[in-house]
Amino acid sequence: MKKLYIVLLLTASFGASAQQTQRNTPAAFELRQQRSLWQRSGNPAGLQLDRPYRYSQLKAGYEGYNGNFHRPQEGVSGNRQIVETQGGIFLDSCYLTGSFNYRREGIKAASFNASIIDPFRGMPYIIADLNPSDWVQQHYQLQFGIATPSYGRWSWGLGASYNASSGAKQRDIRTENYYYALSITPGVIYALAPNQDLGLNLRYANVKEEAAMSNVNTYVDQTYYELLGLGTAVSMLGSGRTNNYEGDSWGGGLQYRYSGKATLFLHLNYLVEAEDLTISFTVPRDGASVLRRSWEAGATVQQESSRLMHTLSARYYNRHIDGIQYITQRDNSGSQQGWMTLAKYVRSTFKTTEAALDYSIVGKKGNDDYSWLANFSVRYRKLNDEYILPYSFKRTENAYIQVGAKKNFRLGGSQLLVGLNAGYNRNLSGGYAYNGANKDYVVVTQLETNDYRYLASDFIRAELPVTFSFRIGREKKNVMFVNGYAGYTKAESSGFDHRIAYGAAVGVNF
Amino acid sequence: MKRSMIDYITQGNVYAEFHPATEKRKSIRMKYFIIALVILCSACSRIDNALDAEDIRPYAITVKANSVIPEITSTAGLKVVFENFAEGFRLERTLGTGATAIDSLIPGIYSINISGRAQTTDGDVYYLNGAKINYAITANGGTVEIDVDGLKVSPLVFTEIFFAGTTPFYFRNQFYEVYNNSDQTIYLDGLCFANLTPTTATTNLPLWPAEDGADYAYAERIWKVPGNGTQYPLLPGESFVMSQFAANHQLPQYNPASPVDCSSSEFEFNMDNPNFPDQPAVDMQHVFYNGNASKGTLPQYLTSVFGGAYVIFRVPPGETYDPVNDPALKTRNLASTSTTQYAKVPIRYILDAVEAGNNQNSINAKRVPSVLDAGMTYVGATYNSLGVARKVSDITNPDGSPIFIDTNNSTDDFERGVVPQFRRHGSKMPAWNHTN
Repeated sequence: MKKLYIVLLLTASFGASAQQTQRNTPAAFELRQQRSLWQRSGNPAGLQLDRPYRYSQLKAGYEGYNGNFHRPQEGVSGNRQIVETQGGIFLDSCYLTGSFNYRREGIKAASFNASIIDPFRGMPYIIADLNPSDWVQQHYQLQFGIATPSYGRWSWGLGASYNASSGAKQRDIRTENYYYALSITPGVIYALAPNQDLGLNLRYANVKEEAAMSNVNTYVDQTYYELLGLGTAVSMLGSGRTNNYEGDSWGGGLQYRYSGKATLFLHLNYLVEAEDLTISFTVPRDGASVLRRSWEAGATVQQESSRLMHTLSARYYNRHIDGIQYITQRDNSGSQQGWMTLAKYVRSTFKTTEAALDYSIVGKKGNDDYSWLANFSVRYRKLNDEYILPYSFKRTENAYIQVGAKKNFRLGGSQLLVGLNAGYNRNLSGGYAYNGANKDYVVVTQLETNDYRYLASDFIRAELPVTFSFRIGREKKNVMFVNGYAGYTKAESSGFDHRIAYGAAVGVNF
Repeated sequence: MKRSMIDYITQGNVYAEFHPATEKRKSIRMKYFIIALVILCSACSRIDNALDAEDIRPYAITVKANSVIPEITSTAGLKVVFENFAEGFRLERTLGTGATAIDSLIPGIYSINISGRAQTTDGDVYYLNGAKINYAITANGGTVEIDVDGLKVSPLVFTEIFFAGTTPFYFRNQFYEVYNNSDQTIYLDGLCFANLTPTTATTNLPLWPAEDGADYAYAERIWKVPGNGTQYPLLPGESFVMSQFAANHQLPQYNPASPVDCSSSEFEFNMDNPNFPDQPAVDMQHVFYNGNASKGTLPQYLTSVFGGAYVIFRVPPGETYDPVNDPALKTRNLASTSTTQYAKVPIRYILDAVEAGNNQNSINAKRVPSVLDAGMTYVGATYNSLGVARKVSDITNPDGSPIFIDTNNSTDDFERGVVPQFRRHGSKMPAWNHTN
């Protein structure tokens, strides 16, 4: 891992000595992001086809959020301190990109989660307690991608990422969590013709999270719930337990690019993930498993002239999670003294379907910068979660429309980017019905009910991003920037009011 | 081209030239390959395991009740109850003649109870009861056979138990009330009270000597009502209370938040703690703790605030019961290295047993044989000042005193989470109570 840090630092330093005048403004970074179709596809072999250049960015920032329009397991408020760095560099004829992000997050008064750092990562089998609590979390993300030049018709690439998180709940039932996710993505591209490429990448990832729960006040035993999905839960009393989550995933992607007067980019990704929950290390018991299968298809058409760049993209995403529960029995015979797994069943399913259409137009300023941009997007999202026996369901169907614009003002040698995004979410349908036992459990009456109400809420959202940048250094080659944003979401639902989010960062592009 | 072994042919023979550095690289490459292979296999195995899970669907099984009373030939009409406590699922059916098909069962771990009245060929009526605890239903079809026996109707039953204590961490107000549910006077002298082990419900159950079979319950501590044989009569409709500390707990020096004043208790478990002095209630006589007759050094007789398992039993006339001096009547937990001794209480001695746990999900950690208590009661929290109370039946004694329900299933027989009180439902105080 140390080697990876060294490479990233080298990336930043080489990038600093290789500044190119119009390519390191914040607007240029955004434009580069929009053009980097291969990088967004996840196939590292395509990095050389994305008009790569050397760059480095370092920034540090602060973000905050507050307001009662949130899911029950999210904090009422919170803040983040962020340090991010990223860069791209040519090593001989290979192109290397890398990034390192650090985030420290303080979450205030999050409810119904005593066992997992991210309760929304597709793992329904967690412990919920009754005490809203603060969490302190730290997140590290390290990523790199390297692409070879073309060898005849072939280009090769390799990407990898390492994410590590730790978290601590600050009130009984307390938990101390450690999480990592390691992924590796080899890729290859075959040039069908000078203007046509076909890409293929594979992906393997390994995930692990450990959660050790305990009470500081050992005199008070806490009520807690072992969540099984959609409000089905087993009520317990005490100080929690040790949860050990381990997962593996395999996947791959196919890409096709045609470059002519316009660029057509098609991609198709498939991923299958299995994650097991084992309870306790001393006398382990199979707790539950999930099997996630997701696939994504997308098409992007990009047409660029000397003045304008149009991008139209469509995306379809489907994820299906099987929630698997085990029937276990304790064997107390002299020879065994452990848990036996007798059977396993798919007890619940969690389905997500998304379709999105985005259009953006950019008024260019030269080849690497822009003067203005406007975008429009519409997104459809359907959640369909079911507990099979006894049958319960939670469904929502939402449509979200967003329009946005951004203007790049030149102020002498400085630039001021001012944007405005406005969105509206309309709930099309939905329902939550719990037909299991213990309908009076708070995980039914509060957690799932309020989560459904959040997911089925109409809302309007506005966001104002502002970035001011100016050149620094004796030769005015580097760019320093200060950015900030303020977002406001107003819910049109009884019981919810609003949520604000704000942030600021300062950084340098080399 | 670099190769770890350079092969060449000389005069038809094959030789290999050895290079240590390149051999090492090859070894490292092999190691990486093996690691990658292990990761690959592990990943595939986890995914295969998940893919292997079948979709859940309701199962059907066949239940057959076998009467162990030869005079009862038919078990038709008995009630069978399937309870999956963890999932809160309950299914109740009536048995037909012979085997009865039960459908709509969610796969899981069940407590299966059969109970009801049945008539012998001579016209005698028995209350039959049989159970299987922690029975796994993981396949469709199949038959479960359960022996049903005539229920020993106890004249003495626990009617009120308060074990949870009062916030903040006050546990000295624990008490146990026992009621004469029969129509005859019962002398309490010599009646034993014990709490069973494990003291708190746990799935990590002890391992007892195999030769014991299912003949014993295992007690941590045993107490006995003193007396000369006729000193403490309990009339029908009367109850008596045994308290951990028979004081008025609502006094300022104890805990004014206590829901009960235990000063009118008939008996107390006096552990000779000068900070909690002896009260007017009669002291229970200590019988057994850790293999000894002495009380040990603990400053109080505290049973688990999560809920314990309690029994009252009486040694039949003509038999002696001395677990302190008779090695055959005590044992240690064979599953651990602990030397703590527990007393064996013959099942046939036991008049009533009640098992309490943290909550409904503790049922899979039962300590009491199902023949004594097929269920479990609970209050769901500690120090919440709530207790459990036996339900009354629709019929009463001629003097209006209640008759309590006793189906040997404390899940059904007890109200849970009640504010504890002495002599609920009009139970009467015995004349020899010290407050009279």
